[in-house]
Amino acid sequence: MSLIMAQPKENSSYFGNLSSDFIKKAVLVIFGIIILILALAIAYRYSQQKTGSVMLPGGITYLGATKPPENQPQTQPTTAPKFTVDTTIPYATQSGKIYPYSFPYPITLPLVVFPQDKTDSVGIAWGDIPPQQNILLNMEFIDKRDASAVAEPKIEYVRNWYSHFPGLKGVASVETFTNAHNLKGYRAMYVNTADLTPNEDIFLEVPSNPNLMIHLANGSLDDVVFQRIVDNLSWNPKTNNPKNPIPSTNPY
Amino acid sequence: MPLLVVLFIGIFIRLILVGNSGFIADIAFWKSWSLAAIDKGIVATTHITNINYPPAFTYVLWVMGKIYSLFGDPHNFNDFWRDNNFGFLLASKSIAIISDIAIAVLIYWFFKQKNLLKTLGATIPDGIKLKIVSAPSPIRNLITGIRNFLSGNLPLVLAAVFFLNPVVILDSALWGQVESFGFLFTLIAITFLFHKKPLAASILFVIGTQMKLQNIIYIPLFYLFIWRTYDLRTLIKSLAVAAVTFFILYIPFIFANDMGKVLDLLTVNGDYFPYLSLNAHNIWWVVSGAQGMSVNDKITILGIINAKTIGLLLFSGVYLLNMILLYKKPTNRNFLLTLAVAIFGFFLFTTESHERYSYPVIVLLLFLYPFLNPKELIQKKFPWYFWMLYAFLTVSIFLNIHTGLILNYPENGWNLLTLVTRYNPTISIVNSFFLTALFFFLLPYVFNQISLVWGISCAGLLCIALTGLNVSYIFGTKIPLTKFKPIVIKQDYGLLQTNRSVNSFQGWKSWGRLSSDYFYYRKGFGTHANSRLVFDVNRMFKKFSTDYGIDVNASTAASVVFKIIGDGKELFVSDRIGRFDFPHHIEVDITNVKKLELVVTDAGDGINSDHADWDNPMLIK
Repeated sequence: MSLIMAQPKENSSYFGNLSSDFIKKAVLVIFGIIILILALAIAYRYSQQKTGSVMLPGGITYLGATKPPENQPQTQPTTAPKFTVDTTIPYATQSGKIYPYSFPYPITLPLVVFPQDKTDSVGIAWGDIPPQQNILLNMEFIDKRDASAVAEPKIEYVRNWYSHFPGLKGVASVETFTNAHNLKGYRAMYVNTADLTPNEDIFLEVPSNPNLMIHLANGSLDDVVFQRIVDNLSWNPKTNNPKNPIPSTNPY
Repeated sequence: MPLLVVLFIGIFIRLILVGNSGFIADIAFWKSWSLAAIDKGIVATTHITNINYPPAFTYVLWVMGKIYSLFGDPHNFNDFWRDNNFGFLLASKSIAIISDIAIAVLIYWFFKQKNLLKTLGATIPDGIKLKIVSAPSPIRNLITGIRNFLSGNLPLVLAAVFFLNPVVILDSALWGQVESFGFLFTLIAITFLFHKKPLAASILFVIGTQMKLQNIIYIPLFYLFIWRTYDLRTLIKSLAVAAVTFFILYIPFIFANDMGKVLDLLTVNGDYFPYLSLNAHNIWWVVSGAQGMSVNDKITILGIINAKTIGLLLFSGVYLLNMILLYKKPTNRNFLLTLAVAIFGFFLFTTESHERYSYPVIVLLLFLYPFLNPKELIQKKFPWYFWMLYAFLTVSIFLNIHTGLILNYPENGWNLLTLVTRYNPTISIVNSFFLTALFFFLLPYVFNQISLVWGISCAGLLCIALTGLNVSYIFGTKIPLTKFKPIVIKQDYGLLQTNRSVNSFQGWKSWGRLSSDYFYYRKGFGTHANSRLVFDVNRMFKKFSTDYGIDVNASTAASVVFKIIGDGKELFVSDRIGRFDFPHHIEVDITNVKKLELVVTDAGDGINSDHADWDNPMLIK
């Protein structure tokens, strides 16, 4: 009888041990998973601390089908569509990744920058034009196009700028102006090979750097938006992020 | 259980780092390529993107894209392309992190098989030997305890050294690269070989080469080892299996009748970034004065030989030594050693080397360690030698990869290290010297297997090759400029052709001889206005002579002006040359000229039809 009674006792202890071991392991596993989820949550929070820029790969590559933002009005259609905004749309500030320029833009305008882009360009990802071909702003390195032009008056460089592009054949007009941040600028219209002057190109001088100019092109932007960007563009080396100093020719 | 703890700690660290945007350019490319893969399919991706990885990697990109689709919509432009897109960071880095885990488990599992290891000639030696110095007994007990633990748990130690290695963590979890994924296949192939399964090994090995192209470095050693370990028959079978695997991998391309694209992508990297060093801290980084990404590797270094050729010859010398070692003593130890030395040599001596190419050394040496005989002189006399070397390599390679990351994305590195290293080229140069020295510290493991004479013979062959390539310069008076490769090539149409007219760039059906008004030339350059070619003639010649004219392929609208410039000074400007002009001849003085420029302009009337030939260009001593 006692033997019969002892049997279930032993089994119960065996299963008891087994179960306690299993529980220990299960608790450990659950605890481990929680810690890993926590790590993932920290990583997520860390990634979202940055504002984050839309960063497209360099060169010509696949970007998927680009759709205009849903709330974005488009102009109608007999000519190429222009990006316009309602006056109630707020503006944000876009700053250069390398150079200390900044300008306001409507928050509905999808701007993109390109990794390792020495010209620190800003493209527009709107409509059916690939952003690489719809550049709003880029830095012009005068010596790269014509070293002798560095020392000449900038208006000469602007007048001759078309000669570096096979699709352009002349200049229709160049006007001088100064924007709201005292940057001296040139408003140029170039004639293309079809005898048309479809675009406006803006060149702004960079203070204390005769080799650099800021170039803007209206492209698919409505004139109101474009002129607001041009007029409010500023150059302020002091506010430049110390992690992104103006690069020298030395890659360090 | 201890392995689980190591894995847990390693995974925890990696997950914490996943949110770092890493090497943003690489990840932006993977977004594009993976989006194309899921949208348009494997074959189309290779055409509509600028992918420069082996085409089989597109399968991985497809997986990456599919994983991301679980987290978000890849067609939501503003979310998908944002550099802090956490879903994509997780999707892309998970490939490498899972591979890290797989390699750690592989190391642990492989070195747990004591019986197999004995048959393979591996011993499980004591772990890191800690000398007990006179110390109070609790410390002595602790040291003894650690030593006993390390000695009895070498598989765990090796797995932990890999999985918690800062180089490995930096590459996969911070940078977001896939070195571990590509190398995983090679490691599995090696373990298959050790398990006497050469055919399975060959399959895995080929897949590895098609996932990460650097794995092709191992091909000759891998198959030499099969031949020497088994026999010729097994070698042939292994090669056949490899060929079949290769074609199976590319079945979608075969069905699309598009194997040309596969060949194209497997060879496109030859001169993709033609610079001395792509942030690799190697001998070329030193030569460039820490400007490796700014100096073209076609600069003339020795006689008329450019840096790229010298780099390839140096690497060939190292590789030959490895082949000799493996041929003479095809042991498992030497197989692993030669793989490590070969990839390290590739990293150190070739130009166009990336900072990450040294990564496999860190893994291969861990596999090598148990195969080192404790009775070998180095191991016996200096038991700390291996681990000291390994520790230095880890630190040095880590510093190199980290510098490569922060040069482009300083905000994504470790702040303190970034602060110290970013603006300090001296550190990178010192590190280059140090890494080169570490390579030579590996060589005792080679020369305790074969005589030093073999090393001297390889160096001798290298010298002969360098002299041989300079024979025409040493004994001749005239050298065709076509022996030099331009360090700058710019032209507004087509691609520069050597000894062919410019239209030949369209493919072999369009190949044509250089011909100006039907005067034919064997040597020269076929180019197109506006064109600028710069050669580093390194002040070695006194005169330059050439014919020049419009190629017969051009239409009657062609008109150009030829210019010769030496170190920025205009030496010659031609008249306007038209389609029906005879070829002209010019000889100019280039004494002390380092950079010789050949320029063709459109003569002010646009570039239409401006096919221009530099015919029979000669440098005269």
